[in-house]
Formats: sequence, structure tokens, C-alpha cells
Amino acid sequence: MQLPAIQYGDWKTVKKRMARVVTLLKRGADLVEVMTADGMLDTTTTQGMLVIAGIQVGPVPNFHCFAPWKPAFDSFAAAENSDAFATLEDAIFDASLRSSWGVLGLLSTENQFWLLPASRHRPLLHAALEVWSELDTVGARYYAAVQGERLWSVPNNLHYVMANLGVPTNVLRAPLPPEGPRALLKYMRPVN
Amino acid sequence: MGGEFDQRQDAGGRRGPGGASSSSLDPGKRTLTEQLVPANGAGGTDSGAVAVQHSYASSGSGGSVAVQRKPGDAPSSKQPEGGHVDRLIQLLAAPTAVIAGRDDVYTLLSSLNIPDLLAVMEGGADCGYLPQLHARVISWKNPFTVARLLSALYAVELVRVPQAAIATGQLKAAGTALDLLPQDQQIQIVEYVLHHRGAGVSVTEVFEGALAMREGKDATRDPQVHGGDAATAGPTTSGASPAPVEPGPWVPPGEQPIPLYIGNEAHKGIAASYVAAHGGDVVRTNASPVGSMLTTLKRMLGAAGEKIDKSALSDDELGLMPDITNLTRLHLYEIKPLAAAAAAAAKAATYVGLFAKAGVAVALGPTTEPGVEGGIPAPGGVYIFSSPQPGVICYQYRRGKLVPVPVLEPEPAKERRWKFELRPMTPQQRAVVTTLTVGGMLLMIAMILLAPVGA
Repeated sequence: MQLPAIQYGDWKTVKKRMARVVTLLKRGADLVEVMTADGMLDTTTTQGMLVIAGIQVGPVPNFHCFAPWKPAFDSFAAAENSDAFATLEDAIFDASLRSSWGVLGLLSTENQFWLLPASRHRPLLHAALEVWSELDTVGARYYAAVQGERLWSVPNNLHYVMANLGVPTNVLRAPLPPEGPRALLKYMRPVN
Repeated sequence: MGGEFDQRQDAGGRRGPGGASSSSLDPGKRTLTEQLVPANGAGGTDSGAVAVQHSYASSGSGGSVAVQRKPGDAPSSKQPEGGHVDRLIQLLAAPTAVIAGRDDVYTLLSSLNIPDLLAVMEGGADCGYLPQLHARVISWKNPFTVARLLSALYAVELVRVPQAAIATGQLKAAGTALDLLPQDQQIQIVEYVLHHRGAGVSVTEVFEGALAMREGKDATRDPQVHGGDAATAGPTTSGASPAPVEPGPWVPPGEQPIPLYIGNEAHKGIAASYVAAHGGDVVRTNASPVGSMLTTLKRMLGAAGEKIDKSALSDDELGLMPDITNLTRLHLYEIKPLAAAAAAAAKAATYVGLFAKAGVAVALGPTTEPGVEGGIPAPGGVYIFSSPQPGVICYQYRRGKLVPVPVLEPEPAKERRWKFELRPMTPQQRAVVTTLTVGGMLLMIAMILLAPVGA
């Protein structure tokens, strides 16, 4: 899987980079352009965890996959005129759905707030199902409180979206069927 | 006893142990000594100050007590300790320390609770009497009280030492004394150090982790009291046997202090458990500021006509981060080691108050919610956690693993229920876990003192 090089490093370094990214995003820069400016890294040849929740400090480099969405949201939220960022947020959300790393970012529980509008649930679900096999082939390298888990085993926003679309929590907490998350679509409420 | 104040003066006209120069004083300001000039008219002028001190040093013969402080010191605002400080200084200044085997400094300090003891020692230190106090305290040998007095003395000394000048010997002595105290007194002393170092979140987490590690260590020594190997963890589950909870990997990031590592991982793991159990809820954990949550709530509740006023909170308040806030259910929890349950409750109540101030009725999270009880992997062990009271999730750190055992039912049940029991780790698992080579308290103090201020 290819992830933006800008997400890779120790958290202290990545955090600084992301502050710059957020500044650019607030000025209306394109998410994909900003995030891929330093190139991409292949997870098969680059060591480290794919951190999707819980900040991982220390000098060991990891992919901090929840960034820049979380710092961006916090920054928008902290602004006096936070409502003024609604258009920007829509643009960032839509751009995120166009890449597997963008979908992964939105699947981080740290970024649940990007999914407050229910209208974003199905688009993320469909995008996640599209790239699921790519995300899952990374294997047990996802970090969310526990080191090295498969993506389904850690809390993620696919659970959140599916729960809000009617899939029972106990189903979401059970091991994933071999067919993957598509197998759970049968539990979803039909579209009105 | 007929004590006298130290009237030594150096070439610069400094006097007393603090050696501050009265000549540098704003002439319009009166020293406390001068302010304390009694109503008998013995002083009130600079020329009379020495005589005044003499006369009031002999306070045993009546009259008010005169206290020598550094010139320019404002009267202590920490009354009523102020009276004790004055008395301490008077006693320390007396040339004869012990009369007929009785040391009044010992009697005075032994009578104080920890916060007062620290405040009084600090008052004495502020006035330059720390060397005398140190000499006196280390001369005491009563095994039942000396650890308490020494711990307080070392704490007062250590917070005054510049970071670069802290000696290992000092830390070791402080840790050794502190290790002998009951936990509540340890917490009070460490809190004093935390407060004086202006310590921030990360140091508090060091404190939490160290408490958890210490509690785990005590459990190994005294399983009867702490549950130890017999400790069990929910949730009970039905049906097939759940998987055991194995110890997590021991991979402290970089040079991260181990207690900080243990505390951080507990927060992340417990929060993740809660999130997993509330898959459809909007939950913010650990690193989400109140301000950001209020904006979120504004969007969530705004449509329902609820008014949220962020401006009612200060910037500092908006930057605070509760451990778990469920914005769908409007519940919050504070996570702490079991030994700090009271602190968790107080903090959770504070956060509830903050949300209320902004116009949102967030409640203390119920103890019966899914995800507030269970066992999860910890670095080199497991965390066992539960919610003993609303808004509080307490955890225990144990070097072991949790294995499911069937719950004995009085009558055959349709589905077998399970609970987790703590079992020791294998030698291989134990081998990968670095153990502390110094006392828990020593390490904790070291981390607090050596951490950057405001870290």
C-alpha cells in the first residue's frame, strides 16, 4: 500500500509537518496535492506501524494515518468562525475518498467528527469497501492502543458508519467473515 | 528556653541565615520583622530593629513572637501555617536545639499533617533556614515518624534545586524515605512537587503510571489485600470460551519513562475498549480538547435548538481534555489507576461543570455502560479496569495474563458464562519485560523534577 511520505516519521516531526498542512488547507489548498507533495512510501518496504488512533510518541518512525484530518478539524473547531470552514471540510472529505490513504485517514476513530453529517456515511462506506482489500493486505500493522492488529480488529470508523446504518454492535465486534465487510451489508437498514 | 536570633551581619550588612540585605530595601517597605514589632513600643525604627529582635527572640518570657524573614518578604498568605512558620524559625534560630532530650522543632513538625508540614517547611526555607532545618531533621531517628519528616524535607529541598543540579544521591534519599510512607501521604508529597514544578499532563501521567505499577507490585507481595493472582475481570461473556487476554508487547517508545508508558497505554487501551463497545456513538478520547468538542456538540445539538456558549469558558478550560467523552450519550469518564480513584472523580466533576458552564448537560458516565469494565493487554501484562463510581474508570496493572474460566452456575444454564482470572506469565513473557531498578517513588520524583516545566 502506498501512503504519503509526509505522514511518516516520529510524531513530533509529523506533527510539525501537519501544522503546515493544516495552514495550507485552511487557505484552500487541495488535500491530495499537499499530502503527496513529498511523494509516497510503500508500506511493504517501509517499517513502522500504521497509527490510526492514539498518538504514538517516541523516536520510532510510524505512519500517522489519522493526520491531517484530526488536527485540521481541531483547528477549524477552535476558530471563532468555525462554521465558515464548512465548504472547506466538504472539499477535504470528498478529496479523501479518492485515495486509499484518504479513506484510511477517515476510518481513524480520531476523525469521527468528519462523519457527523449522516450524508457522509454511505459515501465513506462505499469508498472503504472499494479499497478494503488494499487496506487489509497490510496485515497486523495497525496501531490503535494495541500494537500490530489487523484493521478490522481495531476500533475504526467503518464500525461507526455501519453501526449507524443498522449493523448490530456485536456483529461489528466479532471477527470479520472471510468475505470481508461486504458480508455485513445484509444487516444494514435499507435506504429510504 | 532562652533562644536568640542570629544576629550575624556580613560586610554588606546582611543578617540572618538568608543573608538578604536590608540596605537594598525599599525604605517605604517594612520588613515582616518590623511589621511584627509588638505593641509594647520596643521597635518600629531601623535603629531599633536589632534590639527588637533580641527582645522578641526571648518570647518565652512573654510578648509576641518576632520573626526574622528575608527583608522585603510579604507576610505569608498561607495562614494559619504562618504561625507555625514563625515558630519554626524561632526554634531553628535558637542556639540550643535540644533541651533535656526534647526538641521543639520535632514536636512542632510531627504535629502537622502533610500539607501543613510542607507549607511550614517551605516557609522556613523561604526565610533562609533550610540548612538549619535539614541538619535538625536528619538528626532525628524515630523510625515511626522520620520518613514522613524526611520526605517532606527532601521535597522542599528538591523543588528548589535547579534541574541541572539535582544529584542522584538526593533523589535516592527522597525516594527511599517516600517509599516508606502510606500511599495517601506519598500522593500529597508528589502533588506538592508536581505543583512546584508547574508540571503538565505528561508528568501527571507519569504519576498515574507509577501509581499503577506500584499497586501491581504490592499486589504481588500481598495478594490478599490487592486481589493479586485471584483478581478477576469482567465482562462475563456467554457462549463459547472467549480468548485469553495475553500480555501486550513491551515496546516503550524511545527513552520514554516506563511509568509514563504504562499510564499512556492504559488510557489509550481503555478508551479504545470504550469506543469499540460504542461503535455507533460519537466518542472523543484523550487528546480532544473541550473547545473542539463544544463545536462538535454545537453541530450535533444545534438543530435541536440547544444553545452552546463556548465563550463562557476560558482558553485554558477550552484546552482541557477529558479522557472519554461520549457526545451521543452525553457521558464522560476520567481514567485513573485504582489508587487515584478520588482524583478521577474530582476531575470528572470538574469537566461536567465546564460543560454545564457552556450550556451542555454532560453527565458522569454510568458504571454499567458497555466498555467500562474488562481486561485488555498492557505492556508486559494486562490492565484490569472497571467503573467503581459514575464518571470514573479505574485500572490496575498486573504482570500476568487473563484466562477465561467458566462461571459456576447454581443450575445448569443454557449458555455457559465466563469470567477472566489473572494467571502468571510464562518465564519467556517475563523475560521481555524490563523491570524497574529503582524504587517506584524515586523514579517518579526523578521524572517530575527532570521533566521540562510545563511538559
